[in-house]
Amino acid sequence: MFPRLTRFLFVLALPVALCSCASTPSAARRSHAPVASPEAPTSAVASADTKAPTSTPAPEPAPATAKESTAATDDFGDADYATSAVHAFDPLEPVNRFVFKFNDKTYHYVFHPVADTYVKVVPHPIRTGLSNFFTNLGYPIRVVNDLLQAKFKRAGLESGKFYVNTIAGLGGFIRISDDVPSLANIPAEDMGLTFGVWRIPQGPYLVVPLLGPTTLRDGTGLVGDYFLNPLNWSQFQYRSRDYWWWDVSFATVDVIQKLPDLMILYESQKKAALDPYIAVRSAYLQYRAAQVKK
Amino acid sequence: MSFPRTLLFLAAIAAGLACVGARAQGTDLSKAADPVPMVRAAVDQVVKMAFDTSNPSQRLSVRLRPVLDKYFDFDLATRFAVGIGWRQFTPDQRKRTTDLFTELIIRTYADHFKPGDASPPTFTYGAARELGSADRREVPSTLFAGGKQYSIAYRVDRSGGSWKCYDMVIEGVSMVANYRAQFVSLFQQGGAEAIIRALQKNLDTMSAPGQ
Repeated sequence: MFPRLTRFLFVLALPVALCSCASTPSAARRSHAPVASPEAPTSAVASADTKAPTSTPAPEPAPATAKESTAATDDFGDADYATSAVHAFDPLEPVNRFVFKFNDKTYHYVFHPVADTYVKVVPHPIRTGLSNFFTNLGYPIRVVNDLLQAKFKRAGLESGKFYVNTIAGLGGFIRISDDVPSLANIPAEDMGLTFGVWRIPQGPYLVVPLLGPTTLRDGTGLVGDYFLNPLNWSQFQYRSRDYWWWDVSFATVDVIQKLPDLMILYESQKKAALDPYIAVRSAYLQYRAAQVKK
Repeated sequence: MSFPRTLLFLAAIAAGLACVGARAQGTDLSKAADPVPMVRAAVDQVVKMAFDTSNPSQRLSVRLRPVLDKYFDFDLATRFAVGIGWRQFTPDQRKRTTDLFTELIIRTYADHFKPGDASPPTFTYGAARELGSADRREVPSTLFAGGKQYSIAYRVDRSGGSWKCYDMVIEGVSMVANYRAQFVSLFQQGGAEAIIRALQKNLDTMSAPGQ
């Protein structure tokens, strides 16, 4: 047990240290002055006729008028919008874009059909029940991270929610807690958010094959969440080796039941995007930053 | 229609119609000191319009367009989305960018909605908070739909004399910030024309048969 614990802590500590040391260019150092892109982006927007900015004739600046010089028209919203989610730290962008394209094809040809079939075959009440069940099962992840963040009241509410749904909700299939105002909408914590609360920087943005967007910090958090997920606990017991198929089945069902909502969110971001890669990156970083503050 | 789609559409359109309800009720809530009553009235009006199936032949984006042109500050939204590079746009480029961006926003979110297959959601609103000045506020709200709830914040501005919405933030994701990230990259590649080309290309794709 202790050697495993040591390895677990090492796996967590090393990336966390890397995140802390990684320098994130501040928004102030980035400007809208056109600079040559390091790589030709492979997004849907990039085309052969985009030129390096230095070869593009600078357009005539807008003529200065009394109205144009007012403070209002000189306000470009940088106070709210010049954020790290907009000017993301993405040193591996060429690699990330390649993986993004791979994921996009996989989502289109594999995940989408699976999600569509799941929605067509499985009735809505059962889908809802499965979603509730697996969400309820994630209680250890949420409560441990509540405690690590010293959010003791939230940990108590999370525990109350778990007990109510497990006992009165048929093992978690029915979310009885929705009828209790104090238990209805507890922000879900995970280890990546815990690292954020601990002021550990995000680190570089990453796109993981099949899993999609993450950062070095959040990706490391996933490792911790893996050990806290009850679906994976049987792996640490000797007798579980005879029941590996049970673990795989559970994990497969968990993934499939999440697919419909994930695909809807992904497609909604992609359809409205001029550059889907950047749209997904920005949405992910903004979302996680907001979750840390909750 | 699943609730995530409903959520995204309703939240986007509700933000865009921040003053619609005020106008319909004959009370100019857009000039009131507190933007919350205006936003509340506008969202109620938007939801009613979105779930109105009496005229299924006319696309919702078409029906909403005149109202949005009047009560949503697309000029401000576009300027914020482009950022400081807006200074290098000519007046013609500014107009083209604003027009295309406006069309993109309206069509993207309106086309997601299929009338008649979801029950109307409910909303609650919090107190508006200032965003750096008394003329710029953020109105927090919570959308309840399908047993789930989502946070949506509407950013409104009064620098033109009346409250108008220019951004919405759904679960922490700002529409304007999301487009700024994309516009910054495009501008660095090819200036204003790169942004305009990208907007036009996206709209052409949305207009293609089968889309």
